[in-house]
Amino acid sequence: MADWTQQRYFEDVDEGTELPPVTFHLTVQRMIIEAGANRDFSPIHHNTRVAQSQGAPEMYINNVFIQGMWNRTVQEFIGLDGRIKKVGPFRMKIFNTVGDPVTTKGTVKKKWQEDGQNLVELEVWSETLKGVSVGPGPVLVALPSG
Amino acid sequence: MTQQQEKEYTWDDLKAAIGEDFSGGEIQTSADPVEAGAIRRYCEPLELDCPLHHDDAIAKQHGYRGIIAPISGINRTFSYPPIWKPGDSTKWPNSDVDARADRQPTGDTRARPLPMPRTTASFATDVEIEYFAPVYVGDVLTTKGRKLVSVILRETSVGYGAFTVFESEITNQNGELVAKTRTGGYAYNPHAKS
Repeated sequence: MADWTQQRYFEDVDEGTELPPVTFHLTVQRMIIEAGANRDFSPIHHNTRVAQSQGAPEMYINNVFIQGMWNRTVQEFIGLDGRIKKVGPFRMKIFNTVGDPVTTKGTVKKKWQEDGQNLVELEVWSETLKGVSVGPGPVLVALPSG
Repeated sequence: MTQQQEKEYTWDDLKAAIGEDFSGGEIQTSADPVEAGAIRRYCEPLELDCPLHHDDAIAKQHGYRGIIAPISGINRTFSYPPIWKPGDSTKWPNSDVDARADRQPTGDTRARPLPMPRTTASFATDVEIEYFAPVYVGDVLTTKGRKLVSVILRETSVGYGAFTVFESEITNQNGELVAKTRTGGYAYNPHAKS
């Protein structure tokens, strides 16, 4: 878990700086809890039989769960005074299915100052054992100056 | 996705509709004001322990008016209308194990149906969301607009159909713009089982 007493500053990051990866294990129970919490009850996200009838290999997580994984990974990197300003565009390329470990990773692509803000563009993606499953896609954040 | 139109539409009809708003003027309001408990439950499966989402004092120390919702839940979780509400008829009228009461992720139960051939399956494919204001406990979110901005026909490993992208805006109870969204989905008919 992150140490929220530590703040990352604009001066701390450079192109190529890596975000600490975060891995999420997709168990049936976790996917059910997630579906209930994010209010997406499409059966493809909690019912293997329905997911397979629509061509997927197994029941798979929805885009809000993926956004949440990116949200957590980025927020842990930018700290409490960092702000997420824009996410995407990103594409979910392959299904993130039950039983998969999904790891969110990222790097700093560029940083610049504009209108008094310290802006940083991150490149973020998700990986399963099959390879990159989501993204890569940009996430725009603002960081405080130290 | 399940369309129940009388007219037999083609994919060209959908392409011709690029640029049109399919919200039918409907403004979709969240089922509840944003609740601390809903935020807690949202964070639980993510194991998202950021104190901005559960500690009012810390949130205030960092420039917010109080606990904020995670940005990743703004587009759906905290802006979603109820599945059932008092006065509605039952959403589960029989015991068909696959019967579903929820609204489709692509919003096809909203006021204006899409002019497209019938498809039986769909999932989200693309996400692009710009955030303009934090969402606080007590906020009520509304989603306006459903502008079709892109249609791409494609056969994939799961079937044949269309990738579509829609634009919407989310505002709070004060009319303040919270987020602009461009969300994509793939509506398709699965390949026949061999």
